[in-house]
Amino acid sequence: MKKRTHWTEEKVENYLFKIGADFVSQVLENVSSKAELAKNLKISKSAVSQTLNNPGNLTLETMIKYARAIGMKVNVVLYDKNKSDRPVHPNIFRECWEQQNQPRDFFDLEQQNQAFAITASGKITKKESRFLYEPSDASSGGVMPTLGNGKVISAASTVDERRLPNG
Amino acid sequence: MAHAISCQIRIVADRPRGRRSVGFLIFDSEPSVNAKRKHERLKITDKQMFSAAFDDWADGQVGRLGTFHEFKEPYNQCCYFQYQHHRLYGFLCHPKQSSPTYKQNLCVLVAYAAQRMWERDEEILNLCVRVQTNIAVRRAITNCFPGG
Repeated sequence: MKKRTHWTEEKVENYLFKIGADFVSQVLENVSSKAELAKNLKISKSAVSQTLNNPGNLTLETMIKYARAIGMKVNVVLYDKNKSDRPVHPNIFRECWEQQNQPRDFFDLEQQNQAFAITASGKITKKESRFLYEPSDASSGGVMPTLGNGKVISAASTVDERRLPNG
Repeated sequence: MAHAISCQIRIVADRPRGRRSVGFLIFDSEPSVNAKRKHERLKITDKQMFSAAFDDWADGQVGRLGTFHEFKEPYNQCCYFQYQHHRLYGFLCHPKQSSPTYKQNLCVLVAYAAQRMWERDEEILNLCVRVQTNIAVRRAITNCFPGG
């Protein structure tokens, strides 16, 4: 069977639209109403609607403004094009980050990996521990997907600023 | 020689080893099966919005509010994707009965309607129910998912 090309691969505009639409869905998840968003941004509700209904025209600047208005941050992630047939939703990246206890820098990340290596059985090597996370709940568990050395694809994701002690 | 009924499913959203797929039903002998034709005529941004919604549903993402809807009995197999007043109606089915790991659904989009949130078109829902059990449609689904 002929391999189908994902719609985001057909045109850059489509890819931009997808990134924008994923951003809009995250904004809507984190705000109670467009009116509240408009109030925080000090613009009209119709201006907010116009922006959110045209995800393909979003700029990074607009994304940052909207993210700030709902107490969040924006990031841009590169990941290996060959690891997924189409864009991975930014919520997947955010969930993984939260499952890793939200490391804020590489020292945090390394510390958590070491902590896991100590608490786990001696059979787990440090190298293996890089691919695991320490479950916050004993009943949960899982594997942290690796992020490859990205080549092409990027995705915007929002980070909850309210969870970070110093913004 | 009997004329073969042209019926096929055109998949528009899925992943390899994914749990959900979305496809348009193309059924030449049923003029009311118009989801694909109508979808093609939508504005480019509307089509992009639907494509993003198909991806979200196929990925199991529920964040984009108000894009995918299901019905209660007696139309509990029916569903629709919505963006603004555009609706694409269809039905849900398990395309691979023999494969328990293929956990969920194929969403087959059947017909288009321009409707507001509170409106519901029984005629379209009945069409979805009717084509779901059509033998040519069943065969098209099986052909689309060999080994099913």
